[in-house]
Amino acid sequence: MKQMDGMSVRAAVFWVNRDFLMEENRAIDALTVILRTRGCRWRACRMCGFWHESVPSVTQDEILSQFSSALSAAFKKGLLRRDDDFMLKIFTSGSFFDDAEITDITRMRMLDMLSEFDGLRKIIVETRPEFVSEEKLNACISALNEANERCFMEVAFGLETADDFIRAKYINKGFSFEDFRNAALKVRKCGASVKVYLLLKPPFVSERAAIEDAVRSAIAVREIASTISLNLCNVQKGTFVERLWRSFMFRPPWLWSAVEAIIRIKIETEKAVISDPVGAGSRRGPHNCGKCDKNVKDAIEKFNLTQNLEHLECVRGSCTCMMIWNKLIEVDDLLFNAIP
Amino acid sequence: MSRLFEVKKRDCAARIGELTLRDRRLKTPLIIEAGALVRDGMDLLSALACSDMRILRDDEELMSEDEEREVPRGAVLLPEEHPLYERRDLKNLHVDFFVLSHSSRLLKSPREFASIVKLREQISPDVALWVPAIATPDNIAILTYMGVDIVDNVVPVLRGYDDVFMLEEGCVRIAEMGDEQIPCNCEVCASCESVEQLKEMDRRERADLIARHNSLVLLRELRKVRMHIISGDLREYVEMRVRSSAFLTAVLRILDKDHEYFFERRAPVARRNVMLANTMESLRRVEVKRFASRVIERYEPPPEKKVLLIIPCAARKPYSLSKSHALFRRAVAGFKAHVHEIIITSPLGIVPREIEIAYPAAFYDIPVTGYWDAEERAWVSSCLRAYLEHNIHKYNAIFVHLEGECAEICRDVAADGGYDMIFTCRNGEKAVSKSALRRLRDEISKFCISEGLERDEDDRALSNVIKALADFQFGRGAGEKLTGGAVVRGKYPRLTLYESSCAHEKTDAEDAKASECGSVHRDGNCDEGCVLARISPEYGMLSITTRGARKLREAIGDAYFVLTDDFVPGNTIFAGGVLHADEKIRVNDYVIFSSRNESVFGVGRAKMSGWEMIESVRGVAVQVREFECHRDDINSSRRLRQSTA
Repeated sequence: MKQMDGMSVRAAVFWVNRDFLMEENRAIDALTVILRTRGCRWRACRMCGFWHESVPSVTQDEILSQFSSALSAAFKKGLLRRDDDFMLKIFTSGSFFDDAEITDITRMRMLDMLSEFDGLRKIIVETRPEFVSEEKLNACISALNEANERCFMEVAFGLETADDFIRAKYINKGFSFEDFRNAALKVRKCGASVKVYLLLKPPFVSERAAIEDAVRSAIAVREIASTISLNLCNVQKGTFVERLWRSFMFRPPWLWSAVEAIIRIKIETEKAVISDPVGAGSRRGPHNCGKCDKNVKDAIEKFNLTQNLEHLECVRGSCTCMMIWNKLIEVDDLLFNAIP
Repeated sequence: MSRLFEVKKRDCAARIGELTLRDRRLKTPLIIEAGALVRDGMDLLSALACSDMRILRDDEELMSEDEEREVPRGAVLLPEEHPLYERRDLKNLHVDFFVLSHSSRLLKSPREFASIVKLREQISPDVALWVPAIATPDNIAILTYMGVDIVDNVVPVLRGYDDVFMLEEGCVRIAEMGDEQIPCNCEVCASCESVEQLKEMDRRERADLIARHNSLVLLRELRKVRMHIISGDLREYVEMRVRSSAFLTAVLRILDKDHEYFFERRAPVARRNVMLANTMESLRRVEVKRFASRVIERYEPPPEKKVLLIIPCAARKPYSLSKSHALFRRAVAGFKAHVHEIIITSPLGIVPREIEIAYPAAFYDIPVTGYWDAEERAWVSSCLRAYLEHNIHKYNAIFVHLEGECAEICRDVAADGGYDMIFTCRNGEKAVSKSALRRLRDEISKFCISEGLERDEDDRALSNVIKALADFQFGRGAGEKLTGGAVVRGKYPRLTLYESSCAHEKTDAEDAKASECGSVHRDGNCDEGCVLARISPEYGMLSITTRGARKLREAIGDAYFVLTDDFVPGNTIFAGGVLHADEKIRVNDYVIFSSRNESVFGVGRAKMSGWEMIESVRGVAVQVREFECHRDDINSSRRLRQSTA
């Protein structure tokens, strides 16, 4: 565990990109702020290395200053403009509603700070379901409304899959679909929307089974979720998945699998579907043959902003490696998780 | 424990088997085709219920027998890292095959690849092993050699789609092939005029063609492998095949070094083929190590011979039929009774004269250059050293009649061990030269006379040969018991051992006839019943009769013994009928069997190792040669001659 004093005062990581504002069906700027908190309390998911970024000794004041300086820096550096609409993602490599990471008071203060940003249209936070309570939600939403009445709130859950077996045995997520559902319904009841992260290709799940699982999971959550975010499993440092990967027992998903899954999920759910292809084209990230990775990644990113399936349809078959992938999917039953 | 799979033929760990799938019989090693012929695979998969590994068939089902099943039942082997993995006894599952999941991990290193044999060891020998998505034309030989029964053409197809052209010795990208004719004449390549034509083809069309070609090469290679299993020389083929890649060569070396026991338990004790020792790996073969260890552990030099003579090997086998050995023997003829010859050779180390016809001493070939490399020298001198340590006290003198580097080996051993050796070849002198032979004769006779050893030309060689072979085959003490009160007749190496009470009336010609026809009944008190054992030079083994077996059993107890259930066997005894078998038994060993109630007693040849007879429920365990059957209801004892094969 990292115990570096200097780390705690180090600023949060933040960046700005474009994202799809589902509520208004258009793409706007999105500021992502990754706060360094003490990190996820569970930290046992097989593919997750985010908690390595955590700082156990961080104080609540430090978190607040991380937040405020990230916000002001984004404007100062011209990444965001005062007049433009934007959304804000507050991520902690853990749970926004875990009081051990962020106390009630800190959460309220953070939301209060948002009153000075007129362009803010939506905030997105992440949490494990066990930290969700109506009380906390109501408090947050009313604080947010007070600060900025035009601002939507979305709560994201890393459900990964609707399949309890895969989640429990292969991912080791530590909560059930039922746990997620109850928490998500509370979120809905309090007036916020729900975003669901699905994991494409958890460890020990084959390429085709992974696609099927993602699609099935999307269908299972379409009544609850407003946005479905498909995370393409990558190989993070210091994780169990990394060990598997080094032993030739895990390969990140093909980008073709992502394309296939996104298309089918979009058609089946008609929700906002996004997929940030983190690390696409690298050995540790989702990849195809190496030649087409950039192209396919770009297509996925274009789709994210437009939700227009044509971007994905027209990239399909653009590279001969799709033949290999097709064959691979066809013989998936014969592979028994081999990576030929 | 399988029901729908049966091993029909073994060559060490490699097997030819039969997998019954409804009304069809699939021959293993089997390639499951991922292309058009997907139905075999699908049928097998239906037996697994689903390819998703969490739907392993539940334990209760796998633990129960299902005599009605028409489709083979399989189970998935998980790696230790898998969350569902649990350590358990895989041998009591009622399945016909296992599939190894996550097989790509085998490609991480040669050591991982070689670990397939560890899995093979954990599952029943009569169950098939399927290693998916790994077979290529260059590795299918060694996969089979490790005991894999089922593979598929997934990799050849996918590589084909990736424009990779495969051959048995490796692969090349289409773009790098030049524009010459295609170096293959399979049906796909025959229909294509040149590489250029391939290159100009539509990518998709080409992908299918190359995938097909690659699959055909895999199939061709599989057929070769099958042929070599049948002829019993897969090892030689594997040594050849692994040369194409450093990875596979490393796999073979690791198998020889780290998994010796695995192969020792499976290697036949004898085979009809010449053992080719053309590579560095040949030195590490089970046959070589087994021979060397039996020379130390089982062989005893004839006690009456006090003079050790170390001589070189000869290309002709058995050595004594060679010209050079005839010369050596003539040189010591006057004192034959006192001179004990051992032959120094690579890769076997040392071969005592009496067991020169044993497998593989009479069945090997090596490239002879006169040059011995360091490994060979080290191995051969370790064999000689071990022999002398065990037996030096039995000799009064050591004579070395060797030339060149071979003599150097002896000099080193003599220096290390402080042995006195008399070298009868001068530097640069050929062992067969007149001067060297004369010196050999003179030195030997001088020594024998000085020791008071009388001239004696009768070396009792024939009896010693059978005694030594019996010891070599059945363990120490077997030979003395078997040959006690018996007489040897015949022309070397076709010798027959008779009870002495009747053998004296026969001539050599009759003996030769008897050993050819076996069951010929002759007048007088000499019939087949008097034969105790005979040498079968084709296998380099001593075959025993029921009568010989009874004598042997007094000396060796339950060694090489198979206990069967109470039944009168036909030509074969199946593994299912074996109650117990000696662990030492190897394929092609002569074994003694008896039923539990002792009404049946006979001899046969093992078709599987002793441990395999115990662990298997299917397959032929023993090929019956002859047996006696005493049954109360028949009210007489009769002897049945079963087969002469």
